[in-house]
Amino acid sequence: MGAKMGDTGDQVYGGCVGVDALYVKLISSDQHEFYVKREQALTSGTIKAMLSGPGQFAEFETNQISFKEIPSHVLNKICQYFTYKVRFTNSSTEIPEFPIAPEIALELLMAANFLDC
Amino acid sequence: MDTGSFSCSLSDLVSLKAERKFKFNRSPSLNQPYRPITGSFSPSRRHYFAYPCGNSIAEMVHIARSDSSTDDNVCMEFDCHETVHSLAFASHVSGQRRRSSYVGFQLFNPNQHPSIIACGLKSGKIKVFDLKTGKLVFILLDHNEVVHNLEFISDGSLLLASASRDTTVKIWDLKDDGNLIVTINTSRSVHGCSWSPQGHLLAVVTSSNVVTLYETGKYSIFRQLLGHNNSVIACTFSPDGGLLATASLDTWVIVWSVDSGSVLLSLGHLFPPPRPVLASGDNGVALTGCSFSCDGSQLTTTATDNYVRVWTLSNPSVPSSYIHLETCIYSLFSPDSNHIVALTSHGCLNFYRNLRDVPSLKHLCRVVARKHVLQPNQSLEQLSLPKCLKDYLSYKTFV
Repeated sequence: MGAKMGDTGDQVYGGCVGVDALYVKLISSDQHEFYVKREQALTSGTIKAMLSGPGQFAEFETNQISFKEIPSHVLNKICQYFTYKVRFTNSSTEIPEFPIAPEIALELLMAANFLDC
Repeated sequence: MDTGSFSCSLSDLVSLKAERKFKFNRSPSLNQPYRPITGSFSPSRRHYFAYPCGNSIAEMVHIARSDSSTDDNVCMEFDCHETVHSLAFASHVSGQRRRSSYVGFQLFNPNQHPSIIACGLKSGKIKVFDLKTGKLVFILLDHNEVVHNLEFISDGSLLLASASRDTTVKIWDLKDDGNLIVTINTSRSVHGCSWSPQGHLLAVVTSSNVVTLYETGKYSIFRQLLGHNNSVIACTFSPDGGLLATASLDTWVIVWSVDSGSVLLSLGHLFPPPRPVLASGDNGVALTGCSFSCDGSQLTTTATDNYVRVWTLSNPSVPSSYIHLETCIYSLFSPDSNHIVALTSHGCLNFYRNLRDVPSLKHLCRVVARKHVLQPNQSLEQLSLPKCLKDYLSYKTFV
């Protein structure tokens, strides 16, 4: 799943470089860097558009996206939603509740609106 | 192929399979036409479901057990000596009182009876039982005719609203020994009532076409919703209080946006839909109830054409799945919305596994914001959000 054991016993994950990289990097407004699986990040329509082709977005080249208006506590929750969505879409198991703290609800709503997810 | 009941072919829709079936020896007393029988999940202990079965008895079953044997699962029976028409569970939250009256002596101590169930009977009496011991705690006497619907307010202050055929809705304060606080007079037989989750509105549906919303301070009319062409049978709020679904004999379930009072969605059950002239009479298909899922993204509707339809509200043109069950009279989501309970008039109680999609993050945020962040009477204008998000929060649009 993208991790392989190196000689020293450390785990090495698939990289973030190149067109078919397994991971992409999302950077929040306060410079936190989140590495998420590309497949999960594509849950967001906006991120999918940014990463999908040459043309308007430089992010296509570098596989990293900077969000200058999304703080890290919100971007963290968004990454958790990506995992939740990919895990439970088309799954026959029972879907648990996705917890959202009331303090971040409105900021998260604005970010989700921007990201179209 | 049943083209009369669905706008598309049945093979395009998903049929849900029963996971567990209970069959009881006593069959629920069957309704005169279009009078639904209600059941209820206990709010505190989520594995109990109670429903009225015939012979004047209300039964409570434990649904966590996986075997489908019948009487072993019945854990308590409440003998009411009269036909039971409605039920409601409540568990009290200490410290929550709706009325600050000074009471010198109280007969009913909520701390001794933390969980109670109220049964509305044919004569108009309401019997309240304690869940642990099964003993009768109260009898509330004031209605003259059958009590169609009972509902407790959801903040734990034990206010009970009862809707009766004698054209009144009565509000009782059980923490004040069952004191009758207010009687709301309407001019027609009242079929159902529902509290909004934050407790600031009460929706009342009668045999007229109008849905009335009362505000719960002075119980004056807050708004009237026009749109149905025939009697409205049932109403229910979504868990975040932003939507109200009403089911009517004119074969439509209308989902209203509570903040603006306008129609958001209309869900049809007969195709081609009856014209308004015909909708105001008997169409052969009557809707008996509707129920929201816990995150407000799905709605079940029960109709007398033996189908329970499950609608996903982000895509309301056709139901996302259905249950075919002969003589089904009631359906309800389980509290975690992973199961749907369906009750028939022959004494079958079936549990179906619900197929859910993961709701969008925007919708999940909206539900949390409405439940925990926004005050009921706060205007959205004060928030610093773009206009499209304010409209989204107030349910001007669903998607």
